[in-house]
Amino acid sequence: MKTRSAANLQTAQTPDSVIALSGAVLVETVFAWPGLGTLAFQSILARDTPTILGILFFSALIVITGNLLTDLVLRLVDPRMRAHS
Amino acid sequence: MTDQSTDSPIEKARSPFSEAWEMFRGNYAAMAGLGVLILIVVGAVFGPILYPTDPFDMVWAPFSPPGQDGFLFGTDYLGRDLLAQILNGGRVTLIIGLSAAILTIIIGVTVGALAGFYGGIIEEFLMRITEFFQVLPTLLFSMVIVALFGASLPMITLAIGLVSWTAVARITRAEFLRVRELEYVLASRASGASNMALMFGVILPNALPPIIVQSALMVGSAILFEAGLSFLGLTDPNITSWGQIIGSNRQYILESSFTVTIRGLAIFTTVLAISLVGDGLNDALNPKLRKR
Repeated sequence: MKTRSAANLQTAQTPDSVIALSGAVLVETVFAWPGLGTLAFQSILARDTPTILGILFFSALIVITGNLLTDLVLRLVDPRMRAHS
Repeated sequence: MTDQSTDSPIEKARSPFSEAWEMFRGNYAAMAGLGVLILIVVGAVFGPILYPTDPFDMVWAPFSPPGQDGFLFGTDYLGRDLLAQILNGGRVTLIIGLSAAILTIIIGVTVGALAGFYGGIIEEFLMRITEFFQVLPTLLFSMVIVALFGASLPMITLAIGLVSWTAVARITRAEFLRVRELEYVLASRASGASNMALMFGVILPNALPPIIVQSALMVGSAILFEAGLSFLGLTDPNITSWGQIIGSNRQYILESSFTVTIRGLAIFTTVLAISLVGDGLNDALNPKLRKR
């Protein structure tokens, strides 16, 4: 079996950053915090498509950055990952 | 009735199913989860028949505490019977959880099987699509789907299934990558099995245990997901579900917390029971853990 990148070592579960961002929507709505989640919820209800797309894009960037950091840290702490390159 | 080895000198080969059941039965936490789950399912299926109060009917004064005036769980802010709501809502919640999990398996297994079996450019393409869905915040994406295409029961199910199939796809692909290199696959290929027969007749049954475990856990997360969506009000207003009851009673949590807590406990118990059963299935279906 081929080992391609550190991404293969990540588990099949959804990244925690995704779960955190989803939780932010709920928490910000409940406590009326003026954050990204509240903005997303309001713009979804108002059918404000450009804002929704922008938020989706931005949060995807956050998740990708989180995954990248995970890979880098994994490389730092797991000697097996360094051995391949 | 388990002593089949004592009356005959030749030990009969036991089916993998009975072996798994033996293992599952020894796991007390999983059996407790299964018991609670059966109780909840029975309550959701037969409850509305045995307790025929309409969950949308105004039956008493608002905010009647539990146990008083003949209402076991009290009444909500519109004076509706909360016991009727919880029984009817359980039905909807379980249906959504189950059908979303089935949809998840159908999409995930198809994508994962194609990617794991063919490899090469097909795998690259399908796994990039999977990663695309994986980086989107799940709740946000499903909120967009529900808000754009209308909050009906099938659409909510579709929204949940569409955002949570990636885990199943990745697990299926990993299992296919492992199983397709084994000898019996080569043997069936040599005896002329087509790609389709290999994929779904030979490899898939042997890749099934982790998929079964994952889909059992998927039902739990789908229920949580539906609760989150309907808590935010993105649900069919003509159908009562647990999350919707919590969401609509949310403003009154300080004055009469029972309108929210009992529903929250119901969701918590259901998801916990499903997780325990999934965990037990994991132990029972994993041959590495069996001979301990």
